[in-house]
Amino acid sequence: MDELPRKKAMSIKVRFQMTIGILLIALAAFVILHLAFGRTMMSLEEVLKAILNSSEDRGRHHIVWNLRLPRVLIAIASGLMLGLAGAILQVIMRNPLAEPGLIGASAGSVLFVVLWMLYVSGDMSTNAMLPFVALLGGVITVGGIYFLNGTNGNNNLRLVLTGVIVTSILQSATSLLLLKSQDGLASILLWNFGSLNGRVWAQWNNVWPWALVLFLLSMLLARKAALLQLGDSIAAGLGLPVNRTRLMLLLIAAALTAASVSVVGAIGFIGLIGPHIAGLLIGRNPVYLFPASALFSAVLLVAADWIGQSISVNFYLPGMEHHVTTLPVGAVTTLMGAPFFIFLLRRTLVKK
Amino acid sequence: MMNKPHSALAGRRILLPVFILLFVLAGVFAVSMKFGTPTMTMHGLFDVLLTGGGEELGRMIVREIRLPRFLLGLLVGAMLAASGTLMQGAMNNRLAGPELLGISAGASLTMASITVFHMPIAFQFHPLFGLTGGLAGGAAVVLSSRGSKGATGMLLMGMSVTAILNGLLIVLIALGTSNDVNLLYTYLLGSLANRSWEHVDRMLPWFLVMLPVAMFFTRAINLLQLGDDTASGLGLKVDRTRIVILIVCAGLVAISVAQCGPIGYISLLAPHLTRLFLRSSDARFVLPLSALCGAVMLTAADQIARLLLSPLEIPVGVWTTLVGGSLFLIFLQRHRGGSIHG
Repeated sequence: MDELPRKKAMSIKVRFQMTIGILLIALAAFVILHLAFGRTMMSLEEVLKAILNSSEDRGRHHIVWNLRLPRVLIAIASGLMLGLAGAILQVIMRNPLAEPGLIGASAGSVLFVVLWMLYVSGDMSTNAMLPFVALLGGVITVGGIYFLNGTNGNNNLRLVLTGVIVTSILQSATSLLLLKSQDGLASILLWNFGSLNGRVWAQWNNVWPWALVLFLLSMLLARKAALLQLGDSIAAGLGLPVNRTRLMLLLIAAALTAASVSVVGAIGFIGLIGPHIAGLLIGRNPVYLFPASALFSAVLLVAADWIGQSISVNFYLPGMEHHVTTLPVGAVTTLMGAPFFIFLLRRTLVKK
Repeated sequence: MMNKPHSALAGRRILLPVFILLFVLAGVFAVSMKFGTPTMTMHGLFDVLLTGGGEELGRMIVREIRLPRFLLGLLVGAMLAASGTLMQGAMNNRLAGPELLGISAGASLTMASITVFHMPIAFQFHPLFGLTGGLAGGAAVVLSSRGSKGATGMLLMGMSVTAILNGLLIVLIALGTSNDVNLLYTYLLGSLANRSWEHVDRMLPWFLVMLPVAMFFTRAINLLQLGDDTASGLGLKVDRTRIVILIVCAGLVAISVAQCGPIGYISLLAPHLTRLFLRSSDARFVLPLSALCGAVMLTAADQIARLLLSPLEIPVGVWTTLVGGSLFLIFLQRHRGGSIHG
């Protein structure tokens, strides 16, 4: 990253490398913050010792190794996946407002996961089937929304509106199931708004293979996605099987969403912000856009979770001084992302 | 006003739906009084309701729990539906509704913060604070979608503002209460559970004042439905009227939210169904009938909430969103164009 740009104008590639470098540094910084600060404050040295298992204090080792580290890793993985899914969706739908949570994919996945957990197998942490179940739900929902939108599919706003309404219906259904099984507030917040509370290594083991495989797959298809961006007829003229490529990318995006949802619930708006800001920084060529927006979203999610944690640890509402409160990360990402969505929406509306 | 043939026609046409709705309402009333735990016999129910006799337990349950709940559902449903009619007329947008334009969420957030922070505010003034919050939410949506054409943009704006307000609400509840699902659902979805005569008493004056006020604006709405240019050509101060109507709307919604939380989709669907019934969009007839229709819908939905999974109770807002949201999708399918005109 420290090599000087050879050309006068900074080429996209150099900008890409710089962006990735900065993002990695930011990610590292937030990971350290996340590991060190919490209800138990630690110094950097203590964190390192705890990770390397050379700490004498078994309690600290437990906090860092068993509680904070898997949580941070899962945050990174789901941030990566959601950001990548958002980028893919924006590219193939040519819709700046597309995002897994806004087109119904997350809510559909959540509903199926909750159904599966209630009626088939209840243990979330060890259940490797969950991502597949979630994928089924996501695919059905997205397919349904596309069908509802009909032939008029390129109307960006209408697609999102349908998606939002379908999401609210599916969320109600999820709430209904959760209330029926008399689950607590934590599980309702988890599934409808997304939460990283209490994630453990078993869930990380379920999620990282998905993240890795799908990331590699989408990078393999990135060049084809670049052709798709030129428009269907040009892409077809250049010898690209348009529909098949789009379907594959759509499936990858659905799988990315499903895998993250099955572990952290429906975290909103993360897949929207990452790709947009990454696009501003390095342009919209998918070969660079995909990894950059994935990384950006990962940084955002880790940061949001750290902010949420710090708020719930350091900030008390009156009368709640002695209670353990947990702020779901989804609320933080919504508060970050919804204003951004309004900004994007205004741009789309005024352009019209 | 009845000398115009069109109005006379609509006036005659209104009778049948009114009878049907009253009939259904009577049925819902009977169900809501009779069933539950314990289920009353018809004979015992008549004793309790008409003569004040009957068993102590039954009298207590019917008079102090089931009756106020039913009445509250009636009032809230009517007010929500009336506000939906006003709003759809004022915006000239058939997809508008207080819950889609940030008003419900704003009112709900203020109510939730009063509850969570234990603010020392008398119950009578709660609706006023709800009103302030609702107006702020609505104003945010209207201002941020200014300059955009068509209904879809404004709806999406409303949904994002609602998302922000709900995010704040979740922060508030997650930080401010220990594991209180009920509070979350009351202020996120709306519920009629555990309501008493007090709530009805607080609601009734607003109902008696606001509904006639709403009726007063039906003429203006009829003009607004013709389009802004025509309306101002006919001597209506379009912008000022629209703002006043929206404030009336917010008032109707704020008191409902203050008592029951933001119950979704009633305000959106009742006017639609009423227009379908009447095959007319004359607000003078649509408004009262949709108020009746909303009352029937909400009380019926509340019976489902109460009885379907008994003894477990699911907040009525879950059901109205499930059913109403699906119907709304169908209406959305009909309006395929970008903008919707009266």
